Amino acid sequence: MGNQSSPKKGRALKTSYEASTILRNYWETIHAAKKAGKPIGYCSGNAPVELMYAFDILPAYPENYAAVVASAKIALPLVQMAESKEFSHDLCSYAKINLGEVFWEGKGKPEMPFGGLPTPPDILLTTKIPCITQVKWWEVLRDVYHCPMILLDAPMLEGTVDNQPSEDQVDFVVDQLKLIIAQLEDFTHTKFNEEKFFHCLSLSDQAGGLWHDIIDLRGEAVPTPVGSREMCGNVFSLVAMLGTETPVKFYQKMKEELQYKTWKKIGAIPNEKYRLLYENIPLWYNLEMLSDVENKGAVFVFETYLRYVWGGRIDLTDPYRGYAKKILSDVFLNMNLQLRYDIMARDIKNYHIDGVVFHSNRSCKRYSLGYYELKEMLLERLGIPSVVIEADHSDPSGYSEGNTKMKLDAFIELLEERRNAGSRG
Amino acid sequence: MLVAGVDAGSNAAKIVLMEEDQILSHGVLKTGANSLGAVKDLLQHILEQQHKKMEDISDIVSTGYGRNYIPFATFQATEIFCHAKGVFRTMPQVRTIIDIGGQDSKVIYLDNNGRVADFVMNDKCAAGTGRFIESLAMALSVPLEEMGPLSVSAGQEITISSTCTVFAESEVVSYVAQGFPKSDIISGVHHALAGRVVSMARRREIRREICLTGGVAKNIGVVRWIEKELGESVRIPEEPQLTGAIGAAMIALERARQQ
Repeated sequence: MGNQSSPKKGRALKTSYEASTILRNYWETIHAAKKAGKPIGYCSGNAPVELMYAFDILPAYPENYAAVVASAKIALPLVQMAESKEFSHDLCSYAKINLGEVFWEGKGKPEMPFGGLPTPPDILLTTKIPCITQVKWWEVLRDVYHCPMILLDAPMLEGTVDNQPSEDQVDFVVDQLKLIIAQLEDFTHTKFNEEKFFHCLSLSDQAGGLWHDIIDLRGEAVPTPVGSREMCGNVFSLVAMLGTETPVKFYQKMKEELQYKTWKKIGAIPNEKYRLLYENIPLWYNLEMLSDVENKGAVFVFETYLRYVWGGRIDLTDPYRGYAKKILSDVFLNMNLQLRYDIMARDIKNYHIDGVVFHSNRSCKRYSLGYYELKEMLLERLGIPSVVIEADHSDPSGYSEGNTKMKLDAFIELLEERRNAGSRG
Repeated sequence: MLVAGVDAGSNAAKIVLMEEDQILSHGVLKTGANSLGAVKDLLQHILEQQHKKMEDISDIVSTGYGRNYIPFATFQATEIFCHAKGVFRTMPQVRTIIDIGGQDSKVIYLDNNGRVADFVMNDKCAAGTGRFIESLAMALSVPLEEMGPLSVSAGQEITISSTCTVFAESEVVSYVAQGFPKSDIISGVHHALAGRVVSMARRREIRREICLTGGVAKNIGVVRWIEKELGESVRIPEEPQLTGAIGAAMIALERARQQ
């Protein structure tokens, strides 16, 4: 309830200030490459991007770019344009933002950040690991740009928290990786450079490992040195530059700063009272929501989206199988409900979580599945309260600010009452 | 010790003035576009009635959608907590509160000590809120306060199936055109609202006793349908619309006593 300490201004980590330079450099590089006639491939998240680098194809990420557009608060006209072109209102807003740009007609198009995605793409690479929408979206792009499209299929992961994919599942993905290599050889008319591929895998493994270290450091530290809003900006280089040296250097520096801050017990906010877990993709058009709670002494210390959608280690002693295992086992969207609960329960303990905020995301139904079941399980089995907010990750049209603020305020009041009553912490 | 609770809701401002544990005075005023103005006017009016001045008030706590925009409030709390406090004051046996306000509806689950154990709210649409009834009352040209009494004499059951308030309005207009009596249509409207709210309440275990708060609790048609849907009778505070403001005043009293 009521009036608490104000959050600190500016970034909690000095390293975070480098994120915008990395973002700008990435876009300059990719536009320059396109201009120089180098092949550009549109990749979806969790697609085997290291194979693109092995064939000297530079990846661009329409999903990630849609998040950039939403952060710039210009998503709405693009979403509306896609709907006017008969794409369903129910379609993922990442897809609608991209398709709104692709099919834009007439005046009034917003000025696209960083000059827009380089067009046309020369090849399309996607996977159905996060969702089937990716595949249908890429099929539309294939029809528009008349370029080849490559798809990596993957089964859903089942089992318990420590389980790995079955050998059959790994075989299935390895076979496809080999098939993709053959397809890319056909496309580029060059022989596969395995050494380069393994080098990119090594860089991805290093970046993924550092990212996990960072998440552990900030999650385990009391007080946490950095909140969600800042980390949502810091994930960019892992999303768009995996397989390169940039995220390795960036996250190494960030890890060192975090080690110092955790050792010195320097918190992101002056008086950390409640530690929150955020579940699902953030509201890119309203990242303030993640830091507004800091006014009341609450801070998001862990996000399933940042940990279980991006990053992940690769067993380089057996690179193809190691890579297949990483692809299969590190994506929250590709896990069944029991496994997601088990993982959350473990993380709640490890990161000293007081409460969970579920974002029931209209765009990402696969991610948002089973929230009321998870909510009940967390309360009954662990005594951890949670709240469900309803919104969309990139389309602001259905978002109710007053409703969401009230839910979050009331949730913090609930945590305060529980704390006062001595039922926890 | 004089304190005030201000509930700056989406539809109306509600203020309760408390002297120690007793409610001294209260008032409700439609907010319109200028909610802060309405709150100021209402507070001034209530104070004058009691021959009191602003300086006499030891603490003011605000709640409701406008809670953060009341400059003279010293503390803000959400309606969820204020309703819990307001209900527990007079009905400590209540374990589930269903609050249907102008802009949202909430179900608040209390523990045995009257503390909020959990809550659920409607999502961003107007279905399941007071606005749903207001909008359909306008479509039927029936004053809002007559909706409840009129529906009691309904003869046959009419189903309003659309969850969208605008589409529900089309359904209502269509029933009017087909010559259905207004009382039947209004009962159908109340049934639709009750169905939505009760299905939301069922996301968790509904423990007895159940209390209905918020302005819509004054509508006998909605109350009857909610009871029918729940299969349980519900309790209604004397002034259901004031529950949030009473809770806010109680928090103000606790704060004033601690100072």
